[in-house]
Amino acid sequence: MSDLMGAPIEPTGDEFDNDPAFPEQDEPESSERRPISVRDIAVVGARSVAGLVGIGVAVATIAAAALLPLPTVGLTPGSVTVTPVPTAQQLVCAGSVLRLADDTGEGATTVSALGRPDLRSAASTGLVSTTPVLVSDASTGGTSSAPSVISTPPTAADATESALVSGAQSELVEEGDFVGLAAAGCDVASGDSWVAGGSTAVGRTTLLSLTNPSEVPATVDLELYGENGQITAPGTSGIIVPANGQRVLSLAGFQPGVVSPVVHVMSTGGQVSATLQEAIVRGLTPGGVDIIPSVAELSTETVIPGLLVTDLDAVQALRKGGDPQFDDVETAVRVFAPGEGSVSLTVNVIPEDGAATGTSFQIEVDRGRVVDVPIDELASGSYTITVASSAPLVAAARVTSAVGDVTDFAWFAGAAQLRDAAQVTAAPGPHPVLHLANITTTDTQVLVAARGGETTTTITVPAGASALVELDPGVTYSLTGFTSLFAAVTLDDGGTIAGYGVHPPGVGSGPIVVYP
Amino acid sequence: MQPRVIAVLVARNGAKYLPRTLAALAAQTRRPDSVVLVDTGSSDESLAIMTATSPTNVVSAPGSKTFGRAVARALQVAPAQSADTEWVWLLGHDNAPDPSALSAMLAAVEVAPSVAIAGPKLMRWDEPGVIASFGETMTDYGRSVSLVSGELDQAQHDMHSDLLAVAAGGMLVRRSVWTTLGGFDPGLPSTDAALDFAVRARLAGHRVVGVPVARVASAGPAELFGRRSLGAGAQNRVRRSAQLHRRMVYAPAMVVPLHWLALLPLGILRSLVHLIAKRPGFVGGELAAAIGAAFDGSVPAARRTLRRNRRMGWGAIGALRITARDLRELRSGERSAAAATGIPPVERPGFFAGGGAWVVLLAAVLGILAFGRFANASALAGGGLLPLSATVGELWSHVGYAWHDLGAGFTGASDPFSYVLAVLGSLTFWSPSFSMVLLYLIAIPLSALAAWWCAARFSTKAWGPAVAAIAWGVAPPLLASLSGGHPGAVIAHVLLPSLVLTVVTAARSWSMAAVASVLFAAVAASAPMIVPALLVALIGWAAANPRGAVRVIGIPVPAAVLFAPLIFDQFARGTPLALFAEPGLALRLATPAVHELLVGSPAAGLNGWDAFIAALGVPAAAAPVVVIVLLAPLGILALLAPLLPGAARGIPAMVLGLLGFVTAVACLHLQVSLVGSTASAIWPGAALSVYWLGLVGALTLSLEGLGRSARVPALLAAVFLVVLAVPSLAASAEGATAVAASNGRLLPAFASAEAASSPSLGTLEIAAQPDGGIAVTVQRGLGTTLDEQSTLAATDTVVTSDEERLAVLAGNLASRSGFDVASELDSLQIAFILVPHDADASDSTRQRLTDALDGNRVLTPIGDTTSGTLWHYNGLATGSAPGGPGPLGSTVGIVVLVGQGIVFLVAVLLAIPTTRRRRARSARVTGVEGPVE
Repeated sequence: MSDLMGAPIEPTGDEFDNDPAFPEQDEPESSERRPISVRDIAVVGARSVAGLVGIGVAVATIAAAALLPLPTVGLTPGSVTVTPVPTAQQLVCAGSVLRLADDTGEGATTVSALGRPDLRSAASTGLVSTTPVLVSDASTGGTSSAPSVISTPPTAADATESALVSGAQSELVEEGDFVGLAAAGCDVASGDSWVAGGSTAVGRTTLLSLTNPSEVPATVDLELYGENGQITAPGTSGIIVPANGQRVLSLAGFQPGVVSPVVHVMSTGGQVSATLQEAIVRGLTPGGVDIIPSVAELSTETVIPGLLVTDLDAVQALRKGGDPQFDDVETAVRVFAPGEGSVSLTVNVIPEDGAATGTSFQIEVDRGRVVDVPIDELASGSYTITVASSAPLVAAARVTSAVGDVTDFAWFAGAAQLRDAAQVTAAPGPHPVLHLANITTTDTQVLVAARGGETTTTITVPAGASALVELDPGVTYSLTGFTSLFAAVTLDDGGTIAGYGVHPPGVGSGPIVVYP
Repeated sequence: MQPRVIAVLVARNGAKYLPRTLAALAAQTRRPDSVVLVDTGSSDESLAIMTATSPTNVVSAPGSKTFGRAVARALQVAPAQSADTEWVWLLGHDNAPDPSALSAMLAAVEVAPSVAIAGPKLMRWDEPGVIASFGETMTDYGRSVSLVSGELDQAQHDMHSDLLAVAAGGMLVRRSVWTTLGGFDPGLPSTDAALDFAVRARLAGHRVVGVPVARVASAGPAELFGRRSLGAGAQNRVRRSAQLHRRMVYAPAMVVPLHWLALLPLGILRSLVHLIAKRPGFVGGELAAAIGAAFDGSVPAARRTLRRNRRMGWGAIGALRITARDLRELRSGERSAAAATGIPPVERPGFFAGGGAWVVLLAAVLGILAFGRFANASALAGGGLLPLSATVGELWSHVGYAWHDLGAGFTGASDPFSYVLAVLGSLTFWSPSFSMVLLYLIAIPLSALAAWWCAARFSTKAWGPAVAAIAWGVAPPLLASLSGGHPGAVIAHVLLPSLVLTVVTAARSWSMAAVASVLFAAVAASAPMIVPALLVALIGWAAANPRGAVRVIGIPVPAAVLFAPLIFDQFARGTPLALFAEPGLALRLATPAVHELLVGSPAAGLNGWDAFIAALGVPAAAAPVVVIVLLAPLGILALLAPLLPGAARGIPAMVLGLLGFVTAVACLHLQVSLVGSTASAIWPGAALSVYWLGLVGALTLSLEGLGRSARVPALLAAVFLVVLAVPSLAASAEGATAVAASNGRLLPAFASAEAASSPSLGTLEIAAQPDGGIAVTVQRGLGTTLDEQSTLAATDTVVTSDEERLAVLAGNLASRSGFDVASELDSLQIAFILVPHDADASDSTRQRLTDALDGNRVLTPIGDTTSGTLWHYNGLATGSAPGGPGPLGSTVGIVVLVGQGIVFLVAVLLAIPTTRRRRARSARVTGVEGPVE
C-alpha cells in the first residue's frame, strides 16, 4: 500500500518480529507507532475498569475482615470436676523449743530439746490422732517433745465433705538463756515455702526445723537470702529429711552475722513443714524465744493481722541506751521479693481496736535483698499490717514486748486468706486473742463457735478493719459464715508474747477441674 | 442365469439420511429385483419417508431392534427364494450407494461362484473422498480391526479383494448362505455381527471379497446405528462385549471354562491398563462387558450354529487375520496422522537458561543457613513437631480406621494427614523421623523449584519465574510454619505450586488430572482448612473449561474418599467445623491481628521484624514501616496485574489470594483445636500460603505483562522479599525457634527404657492448665508420635466414660486423697506419671500437683527430666491395657482401607505418564465423524 501511494517507507517494527539473528528480541513497543484504534482503547478501558473493581473488592474484603466484629465459633473442651476422695487431714506441729547445746553449754553442734510443748488439737469429725515423728536430729523421735503430726480421717458419713482440723501448741521456756513464750499453730506440709524471720547476728540463735510427716523421704533444697542478697553456702541443697522425721539446721552454720535472713524451702519427694526458731540473748540477758511459721506462697497483697504492741514505753526504754544490742526490739516488717530490680511497697498499719492511730507509707526496696522496714512509735495496741507490692514478696513483722526485765518477741507472718470455713485452736497459753482482719470493702460477719460448746457468737468485722475475739486457752473454735478474712491468734502475759496465723483447710483436697 | 437381488434397507431414526439413500437406491444402474424397507421402530419420520417412497414394500418391525433381526424379518416377508443365485443386499438408512455399486458388486461375484459375500468400499457420508471402512479382520486374539478407516481414497486399497470380512452396510450376501448360516448372530446386536457372519461363511467354505469400485456411503460404524452419538466408554463396552462373545463362541469346547474363569481377572487387568493409558472412562464398560460375557446366554446357540455349518478348520482363515506387525503399522500410521494436528508449542523460559537453577541454588543456600544445624539430627521436636513412629510398619498402622492410643483411647477415623506422614516416613524407611529433618532442610529450595516450574508455565520471559521462585521459597507463611513446627502447613506450601500447575493442565489431560488429584489429596490432608478455598478455585476453573470440566471436577475425589471416614465421625458427633482443625499436635497459639495476616505473618508479630528491630535497638515503631516498605514492590506489582495485558489471568490470581486471606481470617475465628482447658484457633499458615500464592501469581503475571521493563521492579521485589525473610531465617539459624533437634524420644529416658520392653505400658501425663484445672492424657509405650495424633481426639468435647475414669484418677492424683490409686494404675497399666513443663500452666496448680504426687506413697519420684517431672509406680501388676482393633482389625477398617486403596491405585495408575495414548481425548464420536479406534 505504501509503495502504491508513494509514501516513504517507515520502519514498522515488523521486520524484527521473526528475525533469526535476534532471538531474544522482544516484540517492539508499538503503541507509539501504531495508531491507537477504538478497539485498543476499549480493551484497555475494560481492563482498567475490571482491574479497579477487582482491587476495590479486595480492599473492601480486607477492610471488612479488619473492622467488622466477626463472630468466633469455638468448641468448649469437655471437663470433669473431680472431687478427690477425702483422706486423712494432716497437720504438723512444731514440737519443743530447741537449743544448740545441752544444759552445760557443751556440744554446740548437737541439738537438744527444751521441755515439751503443750499441744491441743481438734477436728470437725471429732476424731483426731496425734503422733510424734519418729526420727529427729534433736533425738526426740517418738517423744512428746518431737514435732507431732495431727490427723483426722475423712468424714465417714459424707465422703465429699472435707474435714476441718486444727491444732496449736505453746511452750513457756525459762531455762538458761532461753526465756520466753513460744506458740505456733499446726501447719500443713508443703513442697515450696518461705520463712522470713530470725537472725544469725551475735546473741541470736536461729534454727531451721524441717519436719516431713509423709511416708516418703523428702529432698530439700534451701535458698538463703540476707540483707546483702542471696547467701551461697555449702549444704543448702540435697538435704534429706527422712519419712516421718525432723531435721534441724542452724542458720548460723550456713552464714553467721546475717541480721535479716529469709529462707526458701523447696522439697521434692515428701513435703515438709518448715519453721524457724529464734532465741535472743543480749549480753547475758535472755531476750526471748519464738517459733516462726512459714508461708506457702509469695504474695503481692500480704496481710499480717494481730500485730500486738504490748507496751511502747517499755520498748522505748530498752532502746534509750543506744546499745546496738537492742536495735532489734524495734517493731519492723521484714520484706523480701526475689528477682531483679526494685519493688515498691505500700505499707498500711491499721489499728485494730480503734484506740491508737495507724500509719501508712510507701517505700521502694531492692529485690533480691532482705529489708527490715522499721515501724516506729506504734502506740500500745494491736494492728493489722498490709503490704501491697508491685511484685510478689514474703513479709513478716516482729514485735518485742517488755515488762521490767522480761523481754520477749514474736514474729507474725503473713496470714493466708480464709475463704469460707476455717478452724482455729487457741494455744493453751496466757490470754489468747483471735484477731480477724477484713480488708475487703464490705462488712462481714463471722460465726465463732467453740468445738463441743453450744454457743455461737456472731462477730461483725467492719470493712477495712479488724475485730478481736477473746478465746479460752486450749479450746478449738470453728469460723464460718464469711467469704474473705485473715486471722491470727496472739498470746501475751507479763512481757511474754507469741502469735500464730490461722490457716485455711488444705487446698490439696479441693475439687479440681480435669480435662481428659 | 441372471441373479436375483433383494435389497433390504433397514432404517432406524434415519430421517436425516433416508431421502438421499432412497434416491441413490432408485438411481442404481442395475436395479434390485425387489426392495424391502424395514423400519425398526423409529421415533422420527423415517417410516413416513419410506412409506411415501414405496408404500408396498415397507415392513414395520418395531420389535426387531438390531440390524440382523431387521434383515431376518425383511426376508420373512420377501418372496421365497426362487433361484440358487439369489442375493440379498443389506443397506442401512445411511448407506447411499453410488449408481454403479450394485452392478459392480454383481460383476465381481458372478465371476467367482465360491464368493458368498461381497462388500463395497464404505465412504464417509459427507466426505465422499474419504474411506470410512473397507474390509474387516481380527487379530490372533479375536479383536476386530477395521483395515482401512479415515484414509483419503487414492485407490491405494483397490487391489485388496479377498478379505476376512466386510462391514454390514452395503454387504451383498448370497441368500442361501444367509439362510444356512442363520443370519447375524443375535448375541452380537451391533458391532462385529458382520465380521462374525463372514467368519462363519468362510468356515463354511465360502469366500468374502471386497469390491473397491463399488462405493457406498456410511455415516458411522455399526454400533452407532440408530444412535446420535456414543461415548468412548460405551463404544469400548460394545466392542469388548462383542469380542468376548465371539471368543466364547469360537473357542474349542474344552477351553471355554478356562476362558470363562479368565473373564473377570482379565477384565480387571485390562481396566488397570486402561487407567495407565488414561482411559478411565473405559473401566466401567470393561468390567460390565466381562460380567455380561460371563452370563451370556446366547453363546450355546451361537456355538451350535457355528459347529453345524463349519466345513473347514480355523487354519483356513489364519492367513486373513492381521499380524501383530501389521497392526502396529496400522496404529502408528493413525497416530502420526493425529499428532500432526497439534498446535505449535509456546516458547517457555528454560530452567537452566532462564536462571531457574540459580534461584533454586540461592534458596538452597538460604535453607542450609537457616536449618543446616539440623543436618545431623535424627528427629525434630518442639512446636507442633514430634518424632514419628520408629518403624515403617508402625507408621502404616496408624492410618485408616483404627484404635487410637490417645488419651483414654478410642476407635475412630485417623486423620488423612497420617497417610502423608506414613508416605514421608516410608521415604526415609531406615528412620522415619528423619523425613521431617529432610523436609526442613529442603523445604525452601523445593518450594522455590516448584514455584519456578509453575510460574514458567505462565511466562515467556525469565524474570517472572525467578522472582516467583524467590518469593515462594522465602514466603513468610512458610518460614513461620517451619519455625513454629507446623509440618502440615509446610507440606501444603511446598505442594501448592505443583497443584496449580497440574490443575491448570488437568482440563486437557487425564494424567495431569490424576496427578492433581493426588496432590490435592496431599494438600487437603496436610491443611484441611484451605480445602474450601481450593474447591472454590477448582469450581471456577471447571466453569472456565467446560470441555475438561469432568477431569477438573474429579480432582477432589481422592481427597473426599480420604476424608470420608473422618467426615462421617465428625458429623456423627455434631462437630463438623472440627474437620478444619490443623492435623498433628494441637497447640496453644497466640492469634495474630488482621494486619499481621495481611503482611503474611501467621503468628502474632510482623514476620519477626518487631523482635529483630528491638534487638537492633531501633524504636519499635519502625518495624511496621520497614515491613511495609519491604512488601511494597510485591504488593504494587500484584495489584497491577489486573490492569496490565493478561488481566484475564491476573484477576483469578487475585481472587485466589483473596480466598486465602479470607480463609486465614476464618482460621482465627474457628477455635476448634482443644488444648487442655483452652480452645485454640487454627494455624493460618497454609491459608496464608494460598494468599501468598495469589500475590505471587499476580506478581508473575505483572512481570510478564510489563515485558522488557520488568527488570527493575523484578529485582527490587526479589531483593526486598529476601530482606524481609532475614529475621525469620536468622531466628532459625540461631535456634531461637520452637523447633529443635531431638533424639527421637517422646518420654523421659527412664520411661522409654521401661516401655521398650512392654509396649502397652502407659505414662499418665497430667498438665497444669492456665485456668487452674489439669489436663490428662495417656501415652502408651514409647509415647504418642506425630502420626498417632488425631484431630478427632483434639476436637473432642464430650467426656466418655473411659475419659471420666482417667479424669477421676488424675484428679485424685493431683490431690491428697484417699482414692485407691494403685489398683486404678494397675487396671489402666500406667507405670509413670509425667507433669510436663508448660510456661502457660498455673504455678499453684502445678505445685499442688507435684506436692500431691510427691506425697503419694505408691509413687517414687524420679525427678526432673527434659520433658517434665516424672514419677514411677513400682508395683505395677501385670495386666493388659485398654486396646482396640488395628486398621485391618475391623470390617469398617478393611472397607475404609480397601476403598481408599482402590481410589488411590486408580489415581496413581492414571497419573503414570504415558504420552503415547493421549489420543483418547477425541473421545466422542458423532454421526458425522469417522469411526474411532
